[in-house]
Amino acid sequence: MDYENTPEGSLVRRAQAGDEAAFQEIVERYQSKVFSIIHGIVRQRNDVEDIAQQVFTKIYFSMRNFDFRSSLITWVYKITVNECFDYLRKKKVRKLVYESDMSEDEVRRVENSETGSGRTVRADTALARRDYVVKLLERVSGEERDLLMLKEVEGYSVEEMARRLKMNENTIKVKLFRARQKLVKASQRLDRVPSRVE
Amino acid sequence: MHDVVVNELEEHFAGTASAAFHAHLATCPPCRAEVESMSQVSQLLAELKSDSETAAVPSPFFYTRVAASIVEHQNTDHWGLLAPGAAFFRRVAFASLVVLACLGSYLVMHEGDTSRNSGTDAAAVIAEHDVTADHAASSDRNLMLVTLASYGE
Repeated sequence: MDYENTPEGSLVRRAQAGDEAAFQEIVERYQSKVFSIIHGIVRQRNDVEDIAQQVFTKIYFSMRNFDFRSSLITWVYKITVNECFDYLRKKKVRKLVYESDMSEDEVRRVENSETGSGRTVRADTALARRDYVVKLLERVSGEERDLLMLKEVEGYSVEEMARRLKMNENTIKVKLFRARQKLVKASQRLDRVPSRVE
Repeated sequence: MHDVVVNELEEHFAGTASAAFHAHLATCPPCRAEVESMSQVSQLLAELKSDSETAAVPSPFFYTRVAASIVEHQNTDHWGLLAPGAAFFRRVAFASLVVLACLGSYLVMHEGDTSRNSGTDAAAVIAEHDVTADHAASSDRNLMLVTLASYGE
């Protein structure tokens, strides 16, 4: 059956026509999944709801552009991942601007308070690993990032990805291979800089 | 990288690669090293998996927040039609420069005309300072001389 003619397809059609109840159903159906994706990437519980709100606002305004080429959850997933990376990019810029206003002593004090405490070492290591992965994923294209996330984080098989993305299995294999090659190169470049994650 | 690796890498990660794939890796050190690196990087991606126990849960009012955010964006968009943006200020600045340039060139041209009309040649200056000309200042001087003469008497 064509996705457009499935019950979810007709729900999307209703939302595209401006039916608020249909949009609310979409939000309620996928909000837990969106929260989970955001938390996996961002790891800041306080920011998860704000980012999720942004995600669903974007979905609302771009709902008319949804063309049924992929399933709704795949589309929602892409928007969510992009929003997370946008958020992390903006946060990095804000941190740089903030630190540029501080003296060297102040920067050193903040860095020590972030890493010096024994209680926070484990959390810091996990966060550092997550930051490292995010840095790697920033070095591949949006499409490659989505494919890698669907495969490695969501655990989809190649067949499932092909079905959801309406792409040939071999195309997905080749794209994944290239994406993995880029990640390896990015990792080798990052490992040459002093702030390597062990 | 050899084709067999490209074609069967995903099967290898899923644990279903063919014997031919493994045989190739055993005899091809560059492919083996590359697959090992890819495997390590792929394991790192698991860091982004969300732990269901610690993951944030949507509040019961989440949809209300989303709806409020949508209305806010719609209002911003409507005001955006009326609010002047950067392009508006660029146009105002450009128009001001054009007006200043026109005014400047008009003043320069007008200054030239005034100079020509008033005349700066010697004859015009002499005509302005003609001592024989009958004007109010000379009659005042005569009146003052008469007053002084009558005071002397």
